[in-house]
Amino acid sequence: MSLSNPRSEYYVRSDAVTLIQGVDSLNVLDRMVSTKILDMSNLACRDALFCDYNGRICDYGTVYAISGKVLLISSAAQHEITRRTLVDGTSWDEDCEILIADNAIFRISIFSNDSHEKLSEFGINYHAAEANQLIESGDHLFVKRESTFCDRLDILVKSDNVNSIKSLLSGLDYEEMDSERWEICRIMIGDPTINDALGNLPEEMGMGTLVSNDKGCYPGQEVHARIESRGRTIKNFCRLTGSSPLEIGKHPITDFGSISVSSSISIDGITHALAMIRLGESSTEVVQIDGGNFSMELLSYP
Amino acid sequence: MGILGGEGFSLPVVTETEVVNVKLNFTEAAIGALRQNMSGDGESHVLVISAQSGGCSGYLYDMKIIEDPGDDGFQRIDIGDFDVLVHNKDSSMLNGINIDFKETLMGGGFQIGNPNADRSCGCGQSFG
Repeated sequence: MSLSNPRSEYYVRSDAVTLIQGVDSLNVLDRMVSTKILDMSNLACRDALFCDYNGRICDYGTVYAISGKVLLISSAAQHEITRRTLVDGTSWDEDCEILIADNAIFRISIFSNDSHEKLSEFGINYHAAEANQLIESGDHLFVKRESTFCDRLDILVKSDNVNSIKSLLSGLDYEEMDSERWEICRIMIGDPTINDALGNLPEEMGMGTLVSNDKGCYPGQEVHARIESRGRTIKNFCRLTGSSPLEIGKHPITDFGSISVSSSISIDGITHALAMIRLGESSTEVVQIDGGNFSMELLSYP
Repeated sequence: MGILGGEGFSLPVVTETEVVNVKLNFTEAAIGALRQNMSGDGESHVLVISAQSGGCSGYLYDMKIIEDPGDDGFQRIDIGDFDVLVHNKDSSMLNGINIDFKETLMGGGFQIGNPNADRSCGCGQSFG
């Protein structure tokens, strides 16, 4: 399996999908996230972080502005807390209704190394498409996502249409990924799950671009402002690649103290992992964990 | 937009939280300041105390004097010359709060102490 040369593939993701509707929907959501979203135009999408009062990530997702409504696709693991906060945080005189769209709308992530030329059948021109701008094609919405690893598009699809989209993609020689292949792709893209991000600071995760320091108060804002003024973090999110197996959890490393591995998969004798490392002033590119050497690459959000 | 509409597209709504019977505690200073702000409109107007997301601790208090909206969804607390309303959705967060009024030039005004809050912001407007 070649990872440096991704095939044309897709994966039907199992996220929490929440529809927020009413004239105050964007305003209610904006008060909860560290990312400024009030200026989003129609048919735009933006990633956003939910943080606690200590500035640590408690959920993250993608916000889609669609004809006056807001679609939030966030982690399935944290959906109850996030939805409860949305309901509790809506003032009695605000027009904002929170609806569960988990089994109604799905996000399919598709990858290729040929700029998705085959998708011209849908009227999609990947080169001409603007990143994070939704393109309507029939009942589906396509959006070009930024990725340093390969050409990535996401499609938002109604549940009734998932099978027909899968058939169309198969007809265009896109292959459906199983969860193992998706895990590898996700690690290569550097797309953290909430398991990787939960409890960490945005700057540590390389997600500093998802913190808007000019939006005023939101949960965690004081801590984020302090980190910005301090200018650096102690820990850094990284990708590890090596030939030894690597278990999820905390591992001691010589000269660094420890490393917390949050995602790890081994295939064809190669291990790919995501981890948080206490790097300090070091600029090493190789770390030794449990007797095996792993190349390390610091990650930032694309 | 096709994806969010169409025949048979109906979604379940996330329901409100637990509703409790609200008790509020006002100091004499707070009642005096509210009486002054009501300007004798206690027959037709009410004070609504509510909470919404925001601030650095998670939630923000809000106090509004508005025309009486009726009892639909609200709990009514009679504190003498006028009524105070708390919406059912805020009842568990605001039950037992203490409302005081400080007459100082710096940081004065209404102050809310909340026994349900694990933390509050230095400015006193945000809690969580």
